[in-house]
Amino acid sequence: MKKLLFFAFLLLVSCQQPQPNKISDPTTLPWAELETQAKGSTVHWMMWQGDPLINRYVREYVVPEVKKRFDITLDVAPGQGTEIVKALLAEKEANKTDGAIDLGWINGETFFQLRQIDALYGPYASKLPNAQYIDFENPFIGYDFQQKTDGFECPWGNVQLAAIYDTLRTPMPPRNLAELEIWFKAHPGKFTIPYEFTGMTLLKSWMIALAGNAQALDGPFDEAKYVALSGKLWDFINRNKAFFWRKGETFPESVAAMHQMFANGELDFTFSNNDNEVDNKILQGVFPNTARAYIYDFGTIQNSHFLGIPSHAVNKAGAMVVANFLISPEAQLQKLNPAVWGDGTVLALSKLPAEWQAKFKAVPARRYAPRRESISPKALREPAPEYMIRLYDDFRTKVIEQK
Amino acid sequence: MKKVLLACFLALLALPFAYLLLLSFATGWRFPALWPEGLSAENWATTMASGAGVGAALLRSVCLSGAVAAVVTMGGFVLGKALAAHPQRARWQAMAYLPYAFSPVIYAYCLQFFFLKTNLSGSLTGVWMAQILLLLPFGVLFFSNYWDARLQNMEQLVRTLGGQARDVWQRVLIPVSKTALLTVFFQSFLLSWFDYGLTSVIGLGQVKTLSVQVWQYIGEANPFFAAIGSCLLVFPPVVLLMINKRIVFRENAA
Amino acid sequence: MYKTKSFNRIGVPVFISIVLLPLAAGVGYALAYSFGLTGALSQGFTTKYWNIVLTNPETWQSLLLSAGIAATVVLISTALALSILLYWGERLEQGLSGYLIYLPLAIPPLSAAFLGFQWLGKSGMLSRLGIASGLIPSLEQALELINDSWHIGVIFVLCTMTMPYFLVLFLQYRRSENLPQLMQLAGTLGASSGQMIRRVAVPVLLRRAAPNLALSGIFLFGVYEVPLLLGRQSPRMISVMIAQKFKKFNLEDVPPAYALTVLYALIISLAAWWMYRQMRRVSGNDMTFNSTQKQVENS
Repeated sequence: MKKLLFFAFLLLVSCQQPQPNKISDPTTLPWAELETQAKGSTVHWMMWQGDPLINRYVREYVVPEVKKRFDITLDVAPGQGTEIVKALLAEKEANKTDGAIDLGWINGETFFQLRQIDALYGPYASKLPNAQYIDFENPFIGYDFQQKTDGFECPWGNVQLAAIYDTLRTPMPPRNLAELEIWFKAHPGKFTIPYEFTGMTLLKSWMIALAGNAQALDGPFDEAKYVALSGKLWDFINRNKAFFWRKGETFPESVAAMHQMFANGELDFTFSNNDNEVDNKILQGVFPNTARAYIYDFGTIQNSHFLGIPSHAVNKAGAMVVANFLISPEAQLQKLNPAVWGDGTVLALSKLPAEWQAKFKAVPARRYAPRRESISPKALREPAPEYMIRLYDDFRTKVIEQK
Repeated sequence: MKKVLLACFLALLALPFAYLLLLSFATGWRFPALWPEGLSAENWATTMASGAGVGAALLRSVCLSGAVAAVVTMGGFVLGKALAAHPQRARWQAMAYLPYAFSPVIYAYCLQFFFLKTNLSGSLTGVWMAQILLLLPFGVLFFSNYWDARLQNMEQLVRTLGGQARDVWQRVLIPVSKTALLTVFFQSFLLSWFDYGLTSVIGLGQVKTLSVQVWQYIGEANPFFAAIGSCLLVFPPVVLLMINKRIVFRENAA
Repeated sequence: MYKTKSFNRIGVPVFISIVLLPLAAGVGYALAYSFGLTGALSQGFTTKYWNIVLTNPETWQSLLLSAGIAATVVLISTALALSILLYWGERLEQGLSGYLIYLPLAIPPLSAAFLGFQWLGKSGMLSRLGIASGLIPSLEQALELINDSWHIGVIFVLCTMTMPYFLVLFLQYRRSENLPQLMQLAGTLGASSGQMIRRVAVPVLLRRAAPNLALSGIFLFGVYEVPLLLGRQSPRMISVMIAQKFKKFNLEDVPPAYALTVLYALIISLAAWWMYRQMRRVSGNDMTFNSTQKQVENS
């Protein structure tokens, strides 16, 4: 028996991962020293892992590069914004001073909730050497869901919501809500809304369209405005949902599943929070090369995704080194390539050294997605985070549970 | 007729395995095709490459489940004995069903706070301990039924004949119970091997066992990789079954 | 020096502290959280969250749905396993079949759910076969078998996991209860084959298997992965509902999630207690069990 227990112990010890270094506030350190401190440590990065190309970019490019350049072991764990919030909340409740997450991929609504429970470390973004290239003047990058980021999160990528369709099946996709309504009725069962981040972003775009004014939801959360506009939105959806996929009784929980249904012809539209995604999906062979992305005439939301460091992260220095690498011209260029990920950069080309400007301009052009310049004028700003949180709850009670 | 139907039934049982294997080698399989567009070992090469982490997850799962099963088996053996001898045995047994019957994912949320407090969440040790808390009741229940009068008499006899405590265990109880011990070991190994809910909550996604990895591939809507992960999850138990089906599945050791 | 009695005295407290205490502590924490007594957002004692949970129709729908699915799966699986056993009898244990019938037990719930998705989805293998054979004219006419209103996909996949377990269980009881001899005896006494099945085989097997069937029902009540992947959003099975409340957007959802957890624990305890009473009443025996049924739920 002792042998068996010893064997059990040995097995566990041999599988255990090394513990990272403990440094309390690395922003006070000079950068070179911070890099030295981070050397040999492990950074636990929690991020959304719902896209194979993004995962491959991280696995095959970021992880090895970070190891090679900074001797940092980057351990990636799956977890969407909400899961990061809940994980950090649980850690806060247990009064943990050494959290299990060092770096998180976050968005506006996550940022808002993490600030609510005071779970973010900062200001750190401006301390990153590569932050000098970030296009902070761009309101779509410098602000997150109408909130000033104050250096508590660092912009990482910038995207715009796009609808994806197949030109063979849908030669004339609907361009506004009125056309959408006609289209639903003519093509029953072929449309749905993903019940997750991308879907809620779509709903916000529709809500702004229903308001008839691109600036309608700017500013802090306004209950009266929300009630009035969301009322119109639920009415629009509920009067059409009989023509949705599964008669609007259930909605897919992930865009990945929706992409598959679109590819198989079960749906005529899928959505992506990345205007460039149609290119990479065609390159992967997931979508037919007759697929295209487009933006509604009333516009769609453009937003950025960010990197946050929890206030009780153990390896803040390591997390900062990794974040700095992720916003480096090289890592940003790599991820901009449609064959790699196709994620928009947060860097201002004008701020970059001339050689990098040339490299960014030489990135293979989008072949199937609309050009950034053509859709940017139709970009809508993200409303305050409370809109998203409310929509998420109300979509369940006002749409899914309404028979 | 009966024979033909039986053959069909058996083929149906084997179908999922054949399908998983085929899917794992497929390069594309779009609707409405009944057969993959192509077959290649490329998926396997990609997932088994060191960076993808599937190989590491496999190793981690083997270590974890082995370590959980070892403790559940020995702990269950010893505690089951204590329970079997207790006058209120039936009551304790009934109570042992509670953690055992609890949904692992909900149990994990109940335990999460304490694991965070003790710095155990997000670590392999934490998942190991949480799985033991979940599965030890199984070992205890199994052995509390196993320790019958015959075995207790045997123990008594050896003791009367002057056997030391150590002898009783090493020379008599453990050898006599070898099959029962193996049964519990393999069964708890499987339960741990299959667990996703508890591992993902207590492990915070950072303890990447094979089942956590498979879930990620399913989430990516990457059926080919999910099939590879499933193959890796399914085939070790199949091998165990082939080695000894009675050990993997036994209703009652007593 | 080792003493059996003193060992047994330590054994039970150890059992309590490892097996029962963690659960009690976990449910206790959940209880405190649900009344607003702890947690980052807590503002002191409140019954607000219990009010939310108890007045939310989804709570009751979800509990009913979970119980309904568990009962349906146990019923269908029992009927199927009994039919298969009585039709093929000992042939199931001979040669290759003796191995193959164990195969489904090696499939984890995660893979079973995945297989269900790949086969039963609208563009899955079944509908492809339907189109290839001309039974289904087009994708639009294909049956909706997953995320469907009747939870057919969930029930089907859970049955494919439960039925093989029941079958193996019945096979063992068939042997241990000397069923062939019993039936032969009944036959000699003039029973028809229908009577032998109805009056002898089925009651003997069912009585013997009752605790296991009931326990499987309790496990099925809390299944997670299969309904997570194949179920629909409303109503959801209870494990899925609780886990999603823990995971999703609104921080205000955490205390109700803990309240639901307590509710679930209460139901499981009552069910276990009821089972215990039944067992004592029926046979005076201790419960027998097997881990394989746990695999169904171990999700």
